[in-house]
Amino acid sequence: MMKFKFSFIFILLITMLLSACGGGNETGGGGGSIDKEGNITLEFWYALGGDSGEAVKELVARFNESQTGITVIGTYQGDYTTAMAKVYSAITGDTVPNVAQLGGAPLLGTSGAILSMEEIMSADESFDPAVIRTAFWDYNTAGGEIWSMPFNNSVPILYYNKDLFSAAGVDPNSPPQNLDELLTIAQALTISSEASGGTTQWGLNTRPDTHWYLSTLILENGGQIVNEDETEMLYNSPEAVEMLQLWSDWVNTYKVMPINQHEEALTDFLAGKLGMLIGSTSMARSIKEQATFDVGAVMFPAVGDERQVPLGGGSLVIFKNGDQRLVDASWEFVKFMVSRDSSIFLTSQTGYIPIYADAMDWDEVAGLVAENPLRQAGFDSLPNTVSIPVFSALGNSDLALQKAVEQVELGAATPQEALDAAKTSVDHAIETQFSTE
Amino acid sequence: MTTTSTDVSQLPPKQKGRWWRRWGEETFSAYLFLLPSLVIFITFTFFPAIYSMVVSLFRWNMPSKPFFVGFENYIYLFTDAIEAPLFWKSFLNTFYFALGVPINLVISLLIALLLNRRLAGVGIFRTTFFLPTITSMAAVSVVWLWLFHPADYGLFNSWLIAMGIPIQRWLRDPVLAMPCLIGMGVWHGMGYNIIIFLAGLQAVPTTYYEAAKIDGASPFALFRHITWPLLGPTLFYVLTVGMINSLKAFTEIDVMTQGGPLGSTTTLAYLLYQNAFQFFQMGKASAIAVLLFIMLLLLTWIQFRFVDRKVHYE
Repeated sequence: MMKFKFSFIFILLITMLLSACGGGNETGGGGGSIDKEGNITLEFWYALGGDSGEAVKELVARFNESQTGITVIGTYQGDYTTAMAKVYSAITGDTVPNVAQLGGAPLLGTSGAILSMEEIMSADESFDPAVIRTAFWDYNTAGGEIWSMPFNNSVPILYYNKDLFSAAGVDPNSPPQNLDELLTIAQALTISSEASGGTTQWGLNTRPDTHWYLSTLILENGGQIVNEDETEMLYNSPEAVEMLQLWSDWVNTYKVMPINQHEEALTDFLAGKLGMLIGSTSMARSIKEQATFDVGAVMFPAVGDERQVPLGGGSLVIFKNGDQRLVDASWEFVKFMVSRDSSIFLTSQTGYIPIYADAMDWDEVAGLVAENPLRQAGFDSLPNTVSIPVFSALGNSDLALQKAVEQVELGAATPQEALDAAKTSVDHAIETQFSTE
Repeated sequence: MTTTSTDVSQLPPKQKGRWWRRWGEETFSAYLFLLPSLVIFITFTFFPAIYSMVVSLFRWNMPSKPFFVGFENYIYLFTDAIEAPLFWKSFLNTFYFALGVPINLVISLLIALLLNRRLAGVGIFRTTFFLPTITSMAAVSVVWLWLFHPADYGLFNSWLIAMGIPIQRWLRDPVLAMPCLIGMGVWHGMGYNIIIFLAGLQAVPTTYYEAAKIDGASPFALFRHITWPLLGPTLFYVLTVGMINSLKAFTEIDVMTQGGPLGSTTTLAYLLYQNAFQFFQMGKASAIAVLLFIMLLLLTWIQFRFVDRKVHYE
């Protein structure tokens, strides 16, 4: 009989365990909680690791110290892709946090899970949207509505190895300003050696997010990514094809850029095997710390005189919640995260660029350039920042552009063929996967 | 719990009492002890599997409402001008990648035969071969990325230069990428197979060998007529498990090639991941999952139906 009793207790325990797992959310939709004394606890998910993640943690700690009544618990949820997947799962399972920092955040607007940032902002007179640059608002708009708050933003810039410039007889203080100069200098930097089986030092390369850099070139050349209705891709235009052809020439004609070696580009650059690296401003701090040579940075090369740099990075969203007090507290937290002081702190700890329109006039920002001159290139880019529209198939589009670059570099397709295929596949995805008819 | 309805009068008299007593306390306890793992299996394996079959009939971009489309996702995968070639290419890549399983089998069997001898320091060798297997695939992949570096200062390329052979682009070359992944996979998975083979080899009674030797059998004949047939069940196990693991391979592809270059390393498992967690097209991803499941089922059935018959069980 003892044995039986034992099993009985066992089954009881299992049942309890299961009912605990299946326990519902008592707050009636949405994360966070309020205790009897009215103290609020907010859940905050973020997608920044490394130095940037530490900076976010510090900002959360500062917010918690700055006031009483609200405690924010920050949780790192992996990179942008992973974090977005978790948010999607949370929406499906009704376990969303209160606030999240995400890439491609305004895409959540159509999900019905987040609150319109535009509505929240307009209800608070103490917040003036005009202090933030227009491009940053565009970056957070989907379907004509601002859904998220700009937080950590970056633009593409060009990093270069001053020592290699000097060795190649190029003035290290006059980095390339446009595509013609870029090619000339890249050619001067490229060194081949028969004994080593080919090129031992490359002139130019980009980081693996090639879609971003190709998009920059397309925009600067007067092309567009997507039409106004966001139903059709426009990157098989002559302006776009011309830029991908140029890219192909760098690789296959002038041979200043290695074939399909973007994953290794940063390693090559830090090893002194690559003269110029196109990458995000967000790396300004880590490159400065890791480089064993004199490194410089300059704005992304212009096409002719035209400069247009599309923003990248993440934004903050506030999730719908059954309790208005939690929503209000979330907004207080978001306001703190994008305040002038927080913005300066984030920029100082990372390579992200300030979101404020007049940031360039601030003494603190000037001090940041003095501390790390690589930051200047990102700040110089600010007046030229634009935003690629945020549309449903953005994920497909980014990968389709990367694939086009890969095909052209490997000689598997001409620029026209590659971009036609990219357009067809993304149009097809919008039509078949994102339409709800 | 249908046993409760059994007519009491039909049971032997000594089993009188409440139903669980009749059923037998031990049987009941056994089921109780199985319950936790059963609950976990149903919640995390069985239910999601059924659920993904349902989802495959919907068009669903996770946060939005699912939209019923019948077999549209399957039709796209098989007939669409854009989707179908990607699907079939990934299908072929899956089997290309699985070529690593028989290669692994042959190499690890050879090493196991060598390690089965009484040699000085054999323990060191056994440990050495097992080391890669217990190292995490993600860590291993990062290290091999360095070895496969496409520039002249990568380790493998520096060997090629020393030998006067033109340097290769390894993982960044559409032709070489898959063989590189297979090679690394064999190196990584070998240790596990060797251990299994060693256990199998040591289970072969030495008396058989002694008897055969007295009859004057050659070392090859010993292997062909004693070791090989008695190792049958082990071989079959290693083949089945290796095949299933190979079809599910993900980490090394994600870390090293992201399915590229030009989709040359996109297997069905990776295509599934891309559709689910990069494009958030859950319906299409689920359709791929269902097809992968059917493939695995067929393959396992074939293995049991045709290979199992040739296996000699003692």
